[in-house]
Amino acid sequence: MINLGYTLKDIDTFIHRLKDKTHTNPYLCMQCLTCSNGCPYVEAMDHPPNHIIRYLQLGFLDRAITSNTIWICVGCNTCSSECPMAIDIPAIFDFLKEESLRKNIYPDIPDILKFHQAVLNSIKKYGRTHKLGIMIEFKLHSKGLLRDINIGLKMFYKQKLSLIPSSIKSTKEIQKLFDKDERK
Amino acid sequence: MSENDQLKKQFFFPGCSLVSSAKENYYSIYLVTKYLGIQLVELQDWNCCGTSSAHSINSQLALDLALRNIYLAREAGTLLVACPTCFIRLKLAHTLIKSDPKNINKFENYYGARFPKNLDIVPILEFLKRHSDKIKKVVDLNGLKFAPYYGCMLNLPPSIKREMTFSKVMESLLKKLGGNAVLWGYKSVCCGTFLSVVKPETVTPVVNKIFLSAMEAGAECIVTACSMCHLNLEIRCNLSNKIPVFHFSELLALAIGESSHISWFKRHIINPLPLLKKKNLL
Repeated sequence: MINLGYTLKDIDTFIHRLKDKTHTNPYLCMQCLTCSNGCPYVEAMDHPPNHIIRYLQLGFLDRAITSNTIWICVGCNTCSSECPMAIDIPAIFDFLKEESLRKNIYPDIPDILKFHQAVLNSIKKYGRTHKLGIMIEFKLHSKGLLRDINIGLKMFYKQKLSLIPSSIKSTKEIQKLFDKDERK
Repeated sequence: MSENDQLKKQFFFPGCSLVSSAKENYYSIYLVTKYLGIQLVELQDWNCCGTSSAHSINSQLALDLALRNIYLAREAGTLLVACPTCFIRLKLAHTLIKSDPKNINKFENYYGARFPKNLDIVPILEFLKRHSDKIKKVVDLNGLKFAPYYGCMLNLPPSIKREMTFSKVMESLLKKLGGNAVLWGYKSVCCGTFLSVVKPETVTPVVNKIFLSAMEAGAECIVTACSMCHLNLEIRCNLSNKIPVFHFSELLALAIGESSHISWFKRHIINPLPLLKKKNLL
């Protein structure tokens, strides 16, 4: 297992930052399993969502951050809307994903990160998402280049993939938002 | 005075899907709102809300992308949002800034404009619920049995959950128009969003279960409230025998007598025409 070298003090500041940023408190979790029982994609995760919250409670940050669960979660909020303690679990996972990128830990399903990056590149360029462009960039960088080609063709035939991106006029303003963020 | 001048103007945030893969959703929403006496005005130069990707890997950017739209809508009063994901991103950003004077200050310094504290961000289902009295049947849906599919729309994050609920909106409106909702267990099981692209092998079994559950309950079609759900259901179901999937707005437009629907239905991947013919709706 990867050791990210968190000390006891780091754990404290980590949880403090997490609470501050996500406005949610993982210590409230009483392990009732509502989240994991309701999650539609739990089978694809290496740990069910309640385990990740437990790891945070116990200070096992490495396990939480290196888990693929935080990347598989699509943020459908089935868990958080049913959580009796109103813990915003997807917000916690978002925080953990950013933390893992900061620590240069990449998901063991690299395609997920590549897809997110392709989407952001499209937004940076046009201010909006251009599905065809995203698919091409994603396919070129992921393993299954020809996977889903028939679905792509069907969508193209049904005019669901436009060749020309819908772009905003002030792409510079969007650029500024990206730059502002990269400076940080 | 042209016809459009008599209509009440309503600022509208369509989102990326409605201007590309789900144009049929846009047209039908446009026709339904026009019928309600409302002229949709697309928020000028709106940008993508950041979708799942921005908040997954760059939360600050996700917030900034949403805030630019809120800045653009500062005079709007109400902003109608068609897509559930866009709605959640915009609403969360608005709620977060509103909750802290320091955030409001930052916003106002960056944009040099007042933060629109009272901007009412309204998702399409809530909007239709507010106007449901005005929707009258022109074409009877002839008892069309449908499975109302809300996807993640009924599951809002805790910070905005208390503000609204849309359960039963599709059921009650379509019932009024002659449709017949089935009782089924998968109405709020997530369609998989981006996993449909990166891990289709995970999404297909879930989507198949959604179809099987709807068909077992006797549904002749599934009705979605979100264009991404619509697309994922259509492309990820690999059953040989599947039922068509409609956008909620398409059935509404059909029932209030809008007749330009053939062009939208041709954009569907699962052909809905045989069912519509069988039901005498074409």
